[in-house]
Amino acid sequence: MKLKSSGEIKNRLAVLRAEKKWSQKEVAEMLGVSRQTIVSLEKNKYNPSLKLAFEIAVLFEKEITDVFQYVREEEE
Amino acid sequence: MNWLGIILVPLFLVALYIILKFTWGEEGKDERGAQVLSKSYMASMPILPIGWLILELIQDSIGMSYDNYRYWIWILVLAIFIVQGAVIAVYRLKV
Repeated sequence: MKLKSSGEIKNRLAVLRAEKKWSQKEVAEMLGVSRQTIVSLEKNKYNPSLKLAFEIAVLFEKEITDVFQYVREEEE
Repeated sequence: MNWLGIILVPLFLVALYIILKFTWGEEGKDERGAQVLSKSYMASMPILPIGWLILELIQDSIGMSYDNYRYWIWILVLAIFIVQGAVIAVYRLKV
């Protein structure tokens, strides 16, 4: 089976952040990234590295698949 | 040809401000910032060798005075910074 490379990685960062009642700035400081990176992540404009993705999952005490999902084009 | 310099120098100063603010600021230090910077280097760095090659070809074919050669090298250097600043300004909003 050949996977299409036109899929998209989506995340639930905005929802999880709202649940924890953390600001974008607070999350950015906890992860050691800029606030703009959090903004871009929440807008699904930026795909983080695997390391940052795991750090986000650890921060929110979730499995990585609870935070990030790979959505293939034909599934949309 | 000084008109080109008059146009490019203010653009260069603005671009330099954008580059330094981004690179030295918080935004340029994480992995997203590195990605934006990498994109800007990829767009701007080929300008010098390609421009230089074109100048050498012009020099070899029709010739060019030393003053003209120096002037165009200076324009190339300004162009590198202007393109890099423009890419950072645009790409940081897209990513």
